[in-house]
Amino acid sequence: MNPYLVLDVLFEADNQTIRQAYLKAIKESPPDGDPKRFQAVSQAYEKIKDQESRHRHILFDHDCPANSPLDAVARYAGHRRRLDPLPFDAMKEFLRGVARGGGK
Amino acid sequence: MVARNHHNLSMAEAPNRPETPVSASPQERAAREFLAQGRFRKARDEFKLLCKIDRGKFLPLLVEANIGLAREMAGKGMLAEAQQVLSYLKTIASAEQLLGLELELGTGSATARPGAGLEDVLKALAKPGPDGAERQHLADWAVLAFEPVPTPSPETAALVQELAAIVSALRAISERQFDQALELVRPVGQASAFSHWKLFVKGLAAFHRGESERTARFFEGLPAGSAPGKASRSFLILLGSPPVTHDSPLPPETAIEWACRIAGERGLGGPLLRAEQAWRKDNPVQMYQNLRGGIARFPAEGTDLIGVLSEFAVNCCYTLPYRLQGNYEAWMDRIIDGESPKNPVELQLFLRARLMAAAGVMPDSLAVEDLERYLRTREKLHGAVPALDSMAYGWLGEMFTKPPLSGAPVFFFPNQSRSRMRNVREAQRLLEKAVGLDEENLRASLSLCEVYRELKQEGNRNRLLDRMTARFPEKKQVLMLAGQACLERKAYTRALKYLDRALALDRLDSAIPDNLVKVHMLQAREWFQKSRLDDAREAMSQTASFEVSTPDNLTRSRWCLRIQQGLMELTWGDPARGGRLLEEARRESPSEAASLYYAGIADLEIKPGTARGSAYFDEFVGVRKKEAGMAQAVALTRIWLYGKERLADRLDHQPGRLLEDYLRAALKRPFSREDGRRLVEFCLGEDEFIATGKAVVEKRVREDAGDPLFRLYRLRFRRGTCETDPEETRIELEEILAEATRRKDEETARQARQELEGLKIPPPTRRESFDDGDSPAEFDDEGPPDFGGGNPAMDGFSGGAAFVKEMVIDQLISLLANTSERDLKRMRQTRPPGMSGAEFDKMVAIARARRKSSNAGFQTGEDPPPPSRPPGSNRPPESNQPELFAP
Repeated sequence: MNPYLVLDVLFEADNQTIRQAYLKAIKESPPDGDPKRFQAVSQAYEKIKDQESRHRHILFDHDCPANSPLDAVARYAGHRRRLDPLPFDAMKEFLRGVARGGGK
Repeated sequence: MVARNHHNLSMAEAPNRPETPVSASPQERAAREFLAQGRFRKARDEFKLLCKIDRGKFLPLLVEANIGLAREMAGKGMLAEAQQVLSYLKTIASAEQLLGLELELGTGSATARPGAGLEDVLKALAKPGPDGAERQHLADWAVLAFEPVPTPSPETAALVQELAAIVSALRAISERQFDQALELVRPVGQASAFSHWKLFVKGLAAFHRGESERTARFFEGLPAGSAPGKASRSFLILLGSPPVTHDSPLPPETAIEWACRIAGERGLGGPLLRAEQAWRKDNPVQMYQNLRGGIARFPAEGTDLIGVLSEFAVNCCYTLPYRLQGNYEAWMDRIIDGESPKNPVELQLFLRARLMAAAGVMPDSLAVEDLERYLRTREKLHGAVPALDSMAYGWLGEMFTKPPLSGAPVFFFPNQSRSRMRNVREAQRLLEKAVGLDEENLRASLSLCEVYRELKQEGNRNRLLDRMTARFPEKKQVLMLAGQACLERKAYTRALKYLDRALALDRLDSAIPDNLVKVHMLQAREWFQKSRLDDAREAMSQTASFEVSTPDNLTRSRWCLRIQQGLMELTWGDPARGGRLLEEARRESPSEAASLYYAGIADLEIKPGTARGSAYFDEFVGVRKKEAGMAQAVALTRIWLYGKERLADRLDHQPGRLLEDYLRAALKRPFSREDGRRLVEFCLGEDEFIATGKAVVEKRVREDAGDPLFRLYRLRFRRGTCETDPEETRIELEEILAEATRRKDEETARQARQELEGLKIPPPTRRESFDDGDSPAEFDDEGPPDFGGGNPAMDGFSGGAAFVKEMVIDQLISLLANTSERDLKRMRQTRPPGMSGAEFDKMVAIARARRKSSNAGFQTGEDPPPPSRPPGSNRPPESNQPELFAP
């Protein structure tokens, strides 16, 4: 998965910002608490921890982030951790829409 | 099938319908079955007929079938048809029975009378009448009205409170007040009409807190036909559940669309569903096209959902089975080379993917062209990043320093070994560019050193190393390389300085003291030759601190150092002292044969001009007959390899012949399996000892016919001479694997498995045939040269694929570009049988043009011109590129 997404940092982030994001992420997901996420966070940090790693990631990284398009959506949501809830009006629209069986 | 199941009722919401009586007619049974299966239209038709027989009995069932049909129609968006059914229902059912349906179909009219519809619903819910499913529908409507809560009457007071709690909890969720939401729904009991909404609120809170397991538990407990049950599908998709389940009443496209909206993107439902379907049908190209055509912003870079989808859609090609990968890459090729890329990001992603997948096998000029095009596209998107460009050029340059593909043509120089590097000139250009863009690019600098060494450009190499040692004073690798270069140009004092610094950085790397000892001994020899005996002995004494007690170390073990010192004393210093040192060495060596053989090789090294070889070899012949054993033979092979490394082409036939005689003598005596293994490993790597290796294997197999390791060796010797076909090899390998497994010989089993895997690797067929596209300018009149089927150089290529042909031609041109004019004349005479002189001359012309353009770039320091289009390229001219992205 995209390391910037996993660590929740911008593409333009510098070494210091990335390190802080990494430390925060491993504090939230320690190896004994959430080993899977800890591993993902550690791997993500290795990929972008300094400029050389970031360039290598841009040029050569070819990890496939998912097993299918829908799996990519699910993994994206999983790595975003806490998706913001829909605003109340959007939630109304959503609930009414799905209750009718249609989309919009 | 999905539509039919939309209104299937789960157990939780099945109405209290009496069971089919035993005495029921077949028609009644069928009608009830249709109703139970959710096939409402059929059920309605049957019950209509049955009502004519017994109206009292079948009217309630006819009403139920019609309500189900109306809901099914509404679910499909056929609201007018649903209203027609409702109109009919009003003639046969009571107003109370139709309240839920009326509200569902007429939300607009209910909101036009605020509070009125909701009050009716709450009153209906308060009565004991409605069954489970109907209660859920009414409760859903009440919540989804999102109207001000009506004034409670004594009969609806509890329901009004619960409804207010649910609506407030949903609002609290929207405002991220998860604890408050849970607190609000706490009073809603399990028996409440709103209990499924309570579960939904708990699931929402868990989802937004990142508690996946709890979310799934809450959502999976919801009745599938209820509004929260349908809404939960979208959240479950985000947890990895499939969009379609047997009891899911929500169309998958809707569920996916809302899942994406929750994840922050609108309008992805349809394209994603179609992409997923194509992916599951093993059609990755269609998968990509669905996303590409359906999502305006796709492909994109970034950490949002579309960025992740783009990353998946491109990088999935590395995970595909070989056949699908080929199709996908061919389609990418068409986008890159022919059809317009959708946007610069797509071009950038595809070029990178093609380079990653094929730079190792594609023609060099295409690889360079793709790389430069990729970097230009990236620069347009992100601005110039010299360090990144340097890394990219360094990567391709380094790839060109690797040995050429094993199937590359060798017919031009039948008596010469091929270049160690794939394209040394292009490697030089790319690596110089990489270092020029970023002098901190250590890897490119190291590779460039290797290239200068290969090209024998010692001046360039030394200047580069000087810059590197100044820039990277703490890099052991650089110091080692600088030391090695100084050693080669006999600057021993300087070499020692670099190596001492390297040793200070890493005291555990045994290569550093090995090199230090070599330099000290060479320096000692030089001073001996200059009759500076004290300096020479001082240099020799410097090696004492690096001496090791293991006799296997042929550079630093005590006995080896004594031999070298003794020989130098004998030759240039004090012969008596030399004799004592040699005697000491003989005592400490593992065997007399080893000390004599080593002394012979060291003697050749010290006295390169010796006409008839070393006298120590004569002595060696004497001891050979006495003590030839396999353990000693293995030790001698190591000395031979040491001599080969030190003397290179100065190691004449005498030591090799002596060793072979010794090995044959040792073969006549019994030997252990381990000694046999070591000897065969040695022989496999040295052409001149293959016959001896085979003899060892045969002897061992005679003693133990099933020995899997030696059978594997036998197979390797046979394969080296093309004596087996792949099928026979496979069978033999499978037997070896079975036997190794039976004997618990894990290492042999691993090797056999690896070789079996190797047999499965398909040949490199990629790209459309160049014969299919436009002919490049160089071959416009005649097309590419046809080497004919009888050309032995083409025999190594399976299938004669056009791509391989194209690659061969490109490699030939690269070869010609690196060849002197005199050799070109000779090569014209020895060209392959199928190639005409005119064709050869055309290739030479292209090669000359390529060499000229390449050299021009070096001299001016400017960017080199775009590489010439290789044979087979059907790409559009470069000047067309900017227009591809015109809005």
